[in-house]
Amino acid sequence: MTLETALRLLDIGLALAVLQRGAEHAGREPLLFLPQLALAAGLLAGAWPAAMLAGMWALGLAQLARFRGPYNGGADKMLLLGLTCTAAARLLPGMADVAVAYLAVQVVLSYAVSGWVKLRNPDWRNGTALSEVFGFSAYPVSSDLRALGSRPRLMAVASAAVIGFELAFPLALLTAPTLFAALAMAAAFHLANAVLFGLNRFLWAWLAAYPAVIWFQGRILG
Amino acid sequence: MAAGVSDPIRLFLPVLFPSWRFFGEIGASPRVQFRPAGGTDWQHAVTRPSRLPLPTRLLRLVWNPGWNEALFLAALAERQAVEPADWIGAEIARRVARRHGLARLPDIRVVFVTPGGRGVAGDDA
Repeated sequence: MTLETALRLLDIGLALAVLQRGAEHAGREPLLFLPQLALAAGLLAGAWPAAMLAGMWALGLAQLARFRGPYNGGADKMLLLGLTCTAAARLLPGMADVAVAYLAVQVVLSYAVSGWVKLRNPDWRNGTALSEVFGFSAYPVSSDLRALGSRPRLMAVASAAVIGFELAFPLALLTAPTLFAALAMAAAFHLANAVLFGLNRFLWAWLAAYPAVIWFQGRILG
Repeated sequence: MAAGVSDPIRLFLPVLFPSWRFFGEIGASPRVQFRPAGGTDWQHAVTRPSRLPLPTRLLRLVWNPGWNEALFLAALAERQAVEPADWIGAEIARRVARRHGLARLPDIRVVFVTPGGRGVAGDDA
């Protein structure tokens, strides 16, 4: 994948993620979100991407200030990081590869670090932590999901699968086929989190950043 | 000290250098409760259905403002416990009033649930 193709795919993914997020907010916070929606539509159409991205980034910063931090935790962080790196790549063409590579590294770290902190926690290794996420956290979208937390064997297997996948993700960079397989599994993981815990914005924010990882793999190891 | 609207750069640094330590520890989980002005009974600000049909779950992939606000309320409640600030209480009360169609801001309290459901009278589910 060429850098230009990666940038265009990043434009499209980020625009869609911003449109999804902004649509949820625009009714209540029109001044902060309607202009960003317009810019995202322009970016999707391919018009003046550097200017659109710069405007979307500035409004993202204003939203961060409005909510005094990310509204939606890691999803907002990844989306704003994607806007930052892609805007930097568009505005500073000489630094474009560095900016996109930084985004790619952060995507890889998002899985690896998350897996590492779980591996270090014995409650994650034996499934107790995941059982607690289902059993009493604020995340499950319906009460019937609470019962899953009472199935220790399932929780232990699911925990091991999540930890193993997250820790192994960097190894997927070794070849293009393994990377595509890992990204498909990662997307399925985010989809599951969206369906079970209502974390829909994580799905779109991470999908939007995947072109950076695909380009990075080809650039470094392809 | 709580961040003000004038320091977006300080708020931006954790975005530029994120930690990605998702769910490293599972701590007590907050439940925001409210009592309408003049009322006596505390109610859960966020409730969840017993079941959610698959079409609804799929629709929520692209349109999920109510649940995302519920998660924001939980994040605010956790933050209030760590670094109490007047703006957090006001933000929670304003959002709860709007969610429940209250004309006046309600009283707010946060109950933390521990494993096994201890710490909360009746689950929000």
